[in-house]
Amino acid sequence: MSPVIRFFGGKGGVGKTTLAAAFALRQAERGTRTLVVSTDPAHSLGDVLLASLADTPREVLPGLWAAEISGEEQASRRVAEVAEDARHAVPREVLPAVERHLARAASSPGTVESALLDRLTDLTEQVGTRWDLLVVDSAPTGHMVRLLSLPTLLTPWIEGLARQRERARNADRLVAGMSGDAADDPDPLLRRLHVRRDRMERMARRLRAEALVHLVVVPEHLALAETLRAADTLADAGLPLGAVLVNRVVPDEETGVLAGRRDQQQEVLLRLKERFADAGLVRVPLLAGTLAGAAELAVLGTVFDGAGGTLAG
Amino acid sequence: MTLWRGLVSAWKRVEAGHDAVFVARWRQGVRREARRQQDTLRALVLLESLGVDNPVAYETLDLIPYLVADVHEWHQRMGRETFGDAGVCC
Repeated sequence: MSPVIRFFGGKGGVGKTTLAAAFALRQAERGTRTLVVSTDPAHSLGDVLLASLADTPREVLPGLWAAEISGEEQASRRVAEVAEDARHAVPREVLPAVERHLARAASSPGTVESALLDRLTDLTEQVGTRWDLLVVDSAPTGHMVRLLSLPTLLTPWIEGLARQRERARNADRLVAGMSGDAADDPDPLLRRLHVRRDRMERMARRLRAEALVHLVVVPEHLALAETLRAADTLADAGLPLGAVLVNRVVPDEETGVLAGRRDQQQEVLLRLKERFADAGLVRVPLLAGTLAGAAELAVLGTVFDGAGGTLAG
Repeated sequence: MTLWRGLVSAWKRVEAGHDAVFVARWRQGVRREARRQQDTLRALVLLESLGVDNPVAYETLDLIPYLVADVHEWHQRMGRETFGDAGVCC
């Protein structure tokens, strides 16, 4: 089966949003129900698709849904949920302290990324039912890689926590049994921890089995080192690498300044070709302007069709 | 009847004695183990108040109300109506 979750990662400004949108559009045209999502705090997906987007996916073209999701928003939504649940579960006098602790946890480092992954997990769980394909126009490289390795980091932690709690409860139950008031109600907290852990595990499994990361790069010396590093980190995290997109390649027929540019690009292209011989390399020609809207994005569709391999769909 | 009552009260005394000597001691041990386990959990939430970052804070948001309630119960059990630091509990 061809991977149903696609990430487009790379440095800021290399054109990953445009390429992700064009790829998503091409797939939608072929009859694949596609959702394209932007996770970058400075969203530009809406500008590329000429549509106003929000956290909830909306169908912008036949078969193409789009959304701009935010880690901050997701975190505050979840804090509100937990606070609401707490109102029924804990003594009233501790509620102010609960809210302070929640606020502190929500502002701790890593929370925005975790929340973003949480939202992506929500959407991923609907791939296979509501959508056939999820395309993520991901945030810059380092951030993206951290995001993807979160489940692996979190699972042992939650597991340990659930185990602690279970042990404490078993001892409690034993005491309760002896004094006659056997309390055998299921632990709501433990249940929630298990649900979260299972969800994360499912997501991590799907990312390894059904996801593909396409690195987007411009053929310049400065970008090369970072792209190679990103590829190594992804491989370490166990994420399969799809075809690498080289954007803004100067076409052969250009002359003058651009011809000079082309010679420089050839060197970098050679290095990229060496490194990504297995994953494949797709060249996207330098265009006169930026593309926006379905008609203009469709121009790039032919690039994907000619690419073969993991991008041809 | 008096014999019956005598027997019942004797049994009750034996049972109470058994409880005091064996069960209570064992129960205390089990309770101590339960508290120790819960202390570990409690430490996790308090560490954050002390400025030790929890890298999975978002994933453990669900725990917070329960842990704060637990700290509350704990300081009350220790005979203090308030925790002393309003940032941690009441």
